[in-house]
Amino acid sequence: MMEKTNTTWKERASEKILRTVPHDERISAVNNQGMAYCGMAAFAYVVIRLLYCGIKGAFALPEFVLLMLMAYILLHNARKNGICNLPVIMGKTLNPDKKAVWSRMGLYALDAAIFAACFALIMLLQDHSVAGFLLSFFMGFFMDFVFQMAVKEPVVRKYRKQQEMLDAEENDMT
Amino acid sequence: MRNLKLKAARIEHDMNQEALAQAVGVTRQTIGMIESGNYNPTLNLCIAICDVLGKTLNDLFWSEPSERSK
Repeated sequence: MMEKTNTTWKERASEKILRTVPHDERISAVNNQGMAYCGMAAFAYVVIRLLYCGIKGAFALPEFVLLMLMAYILLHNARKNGICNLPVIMGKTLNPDKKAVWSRMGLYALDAAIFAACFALIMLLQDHSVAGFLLSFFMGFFMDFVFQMAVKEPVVRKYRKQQEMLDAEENDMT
Repeated sequence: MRNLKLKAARIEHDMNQEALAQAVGVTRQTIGMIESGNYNPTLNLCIAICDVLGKTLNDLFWSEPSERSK
């Protein structure tokens, strides 16, 4: 009768693979780097394809979904590994202080204004109407401002929380 | 495994995590994670930390196998 072992199928499979394929930390690092290069190539392809479709007047939905998925994977991986950096807007790092909320709002507004101006200019080139330009500007400004707030404020809060945690354990020898 | 030796050496040098991080060219989060045992630094980073704190690798990063299993 076969002896039952306590190992899971994953452990058994991993052991089998490691026995047949040469594997160590250097090879693993090289493979990870290779995978990262593949990711970069895929990212470049997706961006070029999106631009190409944009110029041709089409919308490449699968590529757009893939781009969003790539962004999500990057963010998720960073979060899983405890990386939390302050967002940067126009070369300025956001001030994480609770009292600096208005300075952050100013940077969100600046970003939104630049985005809205570009968006409105594109609309003006297509539409040739001043009313359309103004409408696009205000719509773009509002959308980008809300987006910046929704995405960046939680990051700032998380950063502040992490700094508080680091402060608490900085000199704790227990 | 938490690295209390590193934390003690840093405090002994009157440095906070931010100062040590700047001295070795990493973020404060990385120093915090090394001290709390959540990140294995590369040998180069270990040597840089030792240089700044005036310690050897043994002083900061070596522990007896019996301690490691705790």
